[in-house]
Formats: sequence, C-alpha cells, structure tokens
Amino acid sequence: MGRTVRNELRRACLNPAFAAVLVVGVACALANIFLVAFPYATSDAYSAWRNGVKGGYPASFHHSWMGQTSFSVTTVIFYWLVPLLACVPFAASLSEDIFSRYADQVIVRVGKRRYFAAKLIASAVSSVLAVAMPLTINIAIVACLVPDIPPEPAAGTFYVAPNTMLVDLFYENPWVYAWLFVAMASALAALCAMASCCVSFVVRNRFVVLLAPFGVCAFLQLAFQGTILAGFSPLNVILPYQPFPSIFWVVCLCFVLSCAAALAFFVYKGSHYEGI
Amino acid sequence: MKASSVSFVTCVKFEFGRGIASVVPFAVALLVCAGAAQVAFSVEAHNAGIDGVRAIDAFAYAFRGMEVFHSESRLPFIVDAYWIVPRLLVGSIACFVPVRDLKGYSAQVVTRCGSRAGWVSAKLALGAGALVLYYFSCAFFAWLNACVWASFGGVSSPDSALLLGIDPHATDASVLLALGLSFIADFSLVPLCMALTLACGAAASFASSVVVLIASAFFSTPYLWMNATMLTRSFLDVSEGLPAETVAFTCAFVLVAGITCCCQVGKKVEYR
Amino acid sequence: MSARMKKKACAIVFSVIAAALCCAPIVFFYKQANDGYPAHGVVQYDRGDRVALCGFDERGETVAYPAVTLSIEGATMLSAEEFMAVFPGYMDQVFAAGQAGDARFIVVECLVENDSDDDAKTLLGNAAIQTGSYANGIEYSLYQMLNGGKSFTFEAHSSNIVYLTYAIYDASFGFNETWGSIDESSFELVVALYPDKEYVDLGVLDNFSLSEFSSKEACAWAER
Repeated sequence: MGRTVRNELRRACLNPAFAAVLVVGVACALANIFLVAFPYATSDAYSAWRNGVKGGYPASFHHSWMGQTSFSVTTVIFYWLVPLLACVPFAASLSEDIFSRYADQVIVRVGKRRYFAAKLIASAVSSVLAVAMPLTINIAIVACLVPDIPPEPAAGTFYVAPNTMLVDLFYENPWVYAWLFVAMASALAALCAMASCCVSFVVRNRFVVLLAPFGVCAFLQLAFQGTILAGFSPLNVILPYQPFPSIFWVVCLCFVLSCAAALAFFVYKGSHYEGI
Repeated sequence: MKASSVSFVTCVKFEFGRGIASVVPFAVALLVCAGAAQVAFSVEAHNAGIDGVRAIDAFAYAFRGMEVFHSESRLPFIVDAYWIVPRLLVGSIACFVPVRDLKGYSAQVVTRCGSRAGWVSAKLALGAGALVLYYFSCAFFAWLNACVWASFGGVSSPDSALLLGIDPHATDASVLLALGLSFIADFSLVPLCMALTLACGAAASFASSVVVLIASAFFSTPYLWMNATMLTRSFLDVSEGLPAETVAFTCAFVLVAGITCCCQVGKKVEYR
Repeated sequence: MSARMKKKACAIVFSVIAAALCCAPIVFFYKQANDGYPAHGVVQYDRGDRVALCGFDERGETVAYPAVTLSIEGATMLSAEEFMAVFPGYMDQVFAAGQAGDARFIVVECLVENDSDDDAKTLLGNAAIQTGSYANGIEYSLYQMLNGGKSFTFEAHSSNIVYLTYAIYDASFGFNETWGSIDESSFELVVALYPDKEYVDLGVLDNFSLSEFSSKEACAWAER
C-alpha cells in the first residue's frame, strides 16, 4: 500500500500541471503582497503609525493577508480558481488511467483497493498542496511585513462583520481563525479532487472531469446569489472576509455529507470496477 | 463546383450536427441562467416597488454587467454570478468543443474533408451558435417576464431602467445598440478562446478566461478588451461610459485576431 | 543500521535543517516588523473615572489633552417602541427603508470638562459602543437631536453634558444569537484605539430617567 501511495504521490506532485498550478497560485499570492502589504510596510504615510502618533487604527496583518483583502483582484481571482487549482494537477489522472487501460495493469499487480485508495489520497494531497502552499507563503511574507496588531471591532477596518460565522474567534484568536480558513479552503480543494475522481468513472472527457467541480461551485454561486443562502455557496464559505453571513455547523455538516457521498460513490464504483 | 469547397461545406454541416449533442448540456445550462436572471430581476423589481417591467429592460438585465469598481474605496469586490457564469459557460463550450475529439476521430474527419478549415469552422460555428441561443433565450424570457407582469396588472414602467443603474433617459434604440455591441463582444471571445485551447489545452484556456473575466470586471478600462462584455451598463452610464466606437473597434479587432489565430493554430495541431 | 535506515535518517535530518532554515528568517523578520510599532496595550476605566481625551493637531497627528476629561454619568438602552414613544418626531432611516426588524437605541450621558486654557477639538465623535464582536459609531442624526447640534469642540474652562447616541439593529447579527440576549449584554464605550485601547466598562445598560430630559428635548424637536 505504501509503495502504491508513494508512486501515485510522485505522479501527482512531480508533473508539469502541478508546477503550473503552483506558479499560478504563488503568482496570485506574491501579486497580493506587492499590491497591499508591501505599500503598508514601506510607505511614508505609515511612518506616523510606526511612531504611534497617528489616530485611527494602523494596518494589521489580520486584514492584509490574501484572505482578508476583499478589495484586491488577486484575492478574488485566487479564491474563484480554487476548484480549478485543486483539480488540474492530478484529478483527471484516474480517468486517463481507466480509459488508457493503465489502471488495469496496476490493479492486476496491487489490487483494486490499494490502487483506488492511493489514487484518492494522491489527488487529495496534490489538491491541498496546490491551494495551501500559496496561502501559507502569503501569510508568512505578510507577517514579516505588516505588524501583528490584534483586530478590534471598533476600528471599522476589519471586514469580518458581526453577522458572519466565527466572528468571536476572529477577534479573540485571529491566528487560529486565519489557519482555520486555510484549512477550509484546503478541505474544499480535497472535496473537489474527490468529486473529479468520482466523475472519472463515468465520463471520459478530461476537460469535463476537471471542470465538473468548478461548474458545480459556479452554479451554486449563481443559485444562492441574492438569497439568504449566499453565505453557504462553496466559493463564499472559504472566504475569510465572509461577504455574506453563514452558520459554521451547517457548513461543516454540508461538507461532511458531501465528502461521505463522494466517498461512498467512489468506493462503490471502485469495488464494482470491471475494467479487466 | 470544386471538390474541395463541397468537402468544406459537408464537413461543416456534418461536424456541426454531430457536435450539437455534446453542446446540449451547456446550452441547457445557458437557458437556466437566462431564466434565473429573469426571476432575479422580477424579485428585485418587486422589492423596489416597481409597477411593471419593460421587455427591453428585462433583456438588458441579463447583460447589465457590473458597476465600475473603485479599488481605492476598499469596499469588497464581489463578482456578480449572473454576469460571469453565462460567460464561463460560453467559454466552456469554446474550450471543450475543439479538444473533444482531437485525438482519433478528428484525424478521420480531416482526412476525408481534405481540409482542416472545415473542421475548425464547424467548431467556431458551434461556439457562435451557443452564443446566439443564449441571446435569443434571454430575449424570449425577457418578453415572457414582461407579459407576466402585464397579466398581473403591472404597467410597463421606465423605473425598471433605474433598477439597472443605467440612464433612465436612454432610448430603446441606444439600449438595443448596447446589447448588439455586447453580443459582438461576446462573439469575439469565442475564436480567441478556441485558439488558446488548441495552443495550450482546454484547462489552461479556461483558467485564463476566468482570470481575464475577473480582471476585466476589476479594472474598468476600455483597453482591457474583455471589459467590453460589461457593455450595457458602461455604455449607458452617463458618468463613466465607454464610447460605442471604442467598443466596436476593440471587438472587431479581437474577432479578426481570434479567427486568424484559430485558423493558424488549427492548421498546426496534430490531429492524430 | 542498514543503508535504508541511514538514508531515512539523513532525509529526516536534512528536512529538519531545511525547515529551520526556512523558519529562522521568517521569525526574524516577524519580530522586526512588530518591534517597529509601539506595543498595543488595553486600559479599562469604570463609570465615574475621568478619561483624558485626544484630538488632532494641524499635521493630522493625535495629541493628548490631559486637561480635557470625560466621565460617564449614566447609560441606558431603549427598545425601538420606547424610543419612538419618547421622541415621536424622530424617523429612523434604517427602519423606514425596511432594512431591520428590531432595534435598540443607546444613550450615554457624559460629563466633559475642559480645565485647560484653550478650546479643545476632541476626537469624542469617534467614540464607539462595543459588545463582544459588535461595535458601532455614533448615530449623528440622533446626536444632533439630543445635543442641539453641539460639536465635539469644548471651550476652555467649561463643563458640558453630552449625550452620545448609538443605534443597534438586529440585521447586523445575521444568524448569530447575540441579538437574543442583547438586553443583558455588557457594553463598553471605546474612547481610543491606538496605540492603547482605552475604554469605559459600562456593564449592563440600566435605565436612567429620561423623562425630564425627553419632554424638553421632544418638544424642541417637535417644534423644529
């Protein structure tokens, strides 16, 4: 099992698509730093805050990293691309393996259970890395540029409003909040990769397999826009600045149910796979 | 009549007919978007206390785009799903259709047609056809929406133009002109998207179109040609509008460039 | 130790060294970024304590006015119905637009004393009311109504009663359950935020009598 997983991980993480996706994600992260955090750190306008003589509230890390800059095009582009960044590296490999009969060769040698489990694990790991690494790089660099001043509700400069989920956590423990949302984005990425693997059993076309999770996310965005459910759209749930209100336990429940359904389908199709 | 021209027409007709089945799910999704946009418009109009809806304003709602975004205000930048999702669907068709049978079947088609131009032209026609379907479905649902309002006793109201954020004194002719330019702008996307797909692959092309769409909504400058797709509001916005000549020139340039690129790249693609 | 185990051990050691090398500059620059800013302290006052106010000088920098102080005389929270009963001429814009179902109006009675020889242009207008993660600034139309249009500039050697006014709406809390217990919530009046957060702990807002005040002000408002 370990060797199968290692092989699949090697295929997932050492391929040009993964590199390209990382380049795109890191480019968004660095562009965000250049447009937002770097001016904060170096501009003369902020020297008064550094001297403690300017009123209001200075720029803080907690509204300067990529997940909190709601006014930045790089943030919006990155979070809209999350379902694509998650799936492009390796999610379509199961479809290619099945229809090129490579899967049959591997299954004969290691068995269905090991092969499909390794495929699922590798897809999930590559998708999580593709999303979490740019965010982590952005957090690390912004923390080195902008001070870690705790967020204050009365400042009026933080985008996390009292009607959003986990707002108390943001103001009491903002670092936990930030990493929790990185984890949520990674979880959505893993779910998208899992969904692509499920679609791979029924669809041959690589483009459809890659695009299916993104299509579902986009349609949910369209369906929920303007309604009370806007905050529950997957693309809005993972946004740390939360433009719309939602409920944390409902989000977690939907995620768990979606994962369970995808996993059940994958296990069913995998166990009934009769390619050979 | 030369044999090659007969083959070209036959190739186009055959590929177009064959490709329709694969485009049906996207076309259905476009119809759903058009209908959903009209429902959203009705709800918004009702909440705003508007008595009636004009068909032309309901039609314009589907293409109202986004307001000019001022990044210096530090307000959240929220992409309107009613604007971006139909464009992503058309982009999906443009990215999906060329590569659908790129290996294997397409080689046989090209061999029999004797011409790659026929294969490429059929793909372009499919993309354009889906776009035409979307615009006609928007117009149909808008007309239906206006009829429904009238059947409930609603009086056709020019206040619906205010709801769109466009100049309430704009004539119907100027709105139709804006929508016509919007169609040309969308139409000019299709060959460019296809050319990028044939060159870099469907996933890269689609990801690029997502990035450029969002960037075009963010940077409100006519020099970013994708901004032309937010035409209805920007053209009719008194304070920050785009001149029609700029948009028409940009669209024509992109359309010609896109078709040229598509044909050139299509010639070099390996169909085996 | 077999060759494979040695290889694994080497890989682990190299990974640890690489992680340390990556983390060290991050830690260094993080400390440098934070050391460049003054430490952010929190100062709490109680009702009745005298809190020194700040203002802006002509360069736009904050300046402390140690001789200009604020102390809380009383604070009350009224429901929308109670408030409309006391001030029948006042129309809340948020209610009128149908953007909220319920509201609370907070009135904080403050004594502002300027013991200095100069007029003080204070930042009292930036004082915010806060409970938990919710904070809101002064409702200026209400402030104008209750204070007769007074500004936040206080004359030298003067003693002024100022009513700071705030409005809270249920729509601000979304799905959160904070609104259900808003009447029992503890509030703070945040007077300054940076470099130190200075606030007055108002506790649970109790009623102070508005009857004498309200009849006079309500008549004045109605006559306008």
